Amino acid sequence: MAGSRNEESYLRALGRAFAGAVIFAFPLLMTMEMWELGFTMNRLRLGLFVLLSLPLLVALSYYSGFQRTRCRRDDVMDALTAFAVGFLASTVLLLMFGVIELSMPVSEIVGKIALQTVPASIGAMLARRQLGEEGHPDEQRRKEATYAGELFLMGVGAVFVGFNVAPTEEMVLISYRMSVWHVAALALLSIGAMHAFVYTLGFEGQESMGDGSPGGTFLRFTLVGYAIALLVSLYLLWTFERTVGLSPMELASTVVVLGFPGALGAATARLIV
Amino acid sequence: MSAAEQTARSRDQDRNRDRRGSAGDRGEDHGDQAPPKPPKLAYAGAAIGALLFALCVGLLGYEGLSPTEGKPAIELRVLDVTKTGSSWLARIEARNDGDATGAGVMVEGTLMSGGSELEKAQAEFDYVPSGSSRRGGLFFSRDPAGFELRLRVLGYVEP
Repeated sequence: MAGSRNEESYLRALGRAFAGAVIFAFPLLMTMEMWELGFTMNRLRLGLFVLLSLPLLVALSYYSGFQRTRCRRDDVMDALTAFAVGFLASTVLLLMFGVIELSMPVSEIVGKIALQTVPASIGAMLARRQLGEEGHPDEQRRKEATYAGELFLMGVGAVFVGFNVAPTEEMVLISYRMSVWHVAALALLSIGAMHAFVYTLGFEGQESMGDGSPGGTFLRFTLVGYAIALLVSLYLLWTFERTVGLSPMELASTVVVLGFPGALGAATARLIV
Repeated sequence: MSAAEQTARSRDQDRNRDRRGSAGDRGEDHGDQAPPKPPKLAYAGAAIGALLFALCVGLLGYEGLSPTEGKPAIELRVLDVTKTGSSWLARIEARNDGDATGAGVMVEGTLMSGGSELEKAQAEFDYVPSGSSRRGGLFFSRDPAGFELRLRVLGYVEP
């Protein structure tokens, strides 16, 4: 009896995970650059990207998984399940869009699916938070998040939002249009917007850190958060091979361009992750 | 879900929260209270995930580590020729048997009569991935069947 209700709630969580995967991943599933990257990307960078997604999912499961978890082993199990959900959702949609066909070589098919699986499985993992369930039990964990945990969630927010535009050609094209002054202004705007979000949303960790002063928040969350957003941007650009052949100045401005959505994602991590 | 179930559930959650709060632990509790033990299905789901994860990382890693500092090797062939409207369409296939993907692959077809060129047609493939084939077509104002159709790849760029 208890077992069947248990399974029922598991299946419901699984359904929610599929919905989350599709909702987060469909803009990327419908992005041409993502299909092309699936077979043009450096295999090791793609492999590393997929590899890193698992620890990210495990940590995310702890803070806001699609199911309640009891221990580390459960978090790993949920992370693997989210990966399976992301993989299957991506496969079905890519097949439906005619992006993958059975006549294509295995390498091309796996590359295209693997790349989409990363955002789709993050979406699956966040389904519970995104698609709303009353009284999320992991709420407590987020409230108790340490400073490091807080920064991790900011990083996930930066990935979550930045990923949507990172693979597009526009990142580099926008940076070509910008002068040094544009870049500096955008960086300042990013920091300003970030601080406004961080300050008004109120990071839970603040009070417990015993430093609620605006200056402390600015240093501890806004500036460090912006640095995280920039690092995430640099990593995403490197992964998608957008850094090849760029001069240091061009690279810096591209990182700042992608850092803008990344910073907004990091600052609003509380809302989305 | 019935109302009774719902209250039972939220009570469960409250109890959980209290336990967590008082113990000050970080969810490492293995107690027999909720959240319940994962059902058998959950193990199946996780096992499938582990398999797919190993497949992706393994395959990408294997490919990445095998030496393929290669070049694209693109061959063209004519699939068929049909009359479409006022012109003739020669459908072609570009096949890349090389180790690298070619981007912006320009191809050209020339209709030859004896030693002289009658007309040329060009097409560009966005990508011809390694090990893949892509299809396209060339339009001519004369029937290619009556002449010699020469196909050649003009060039590509690295993606």
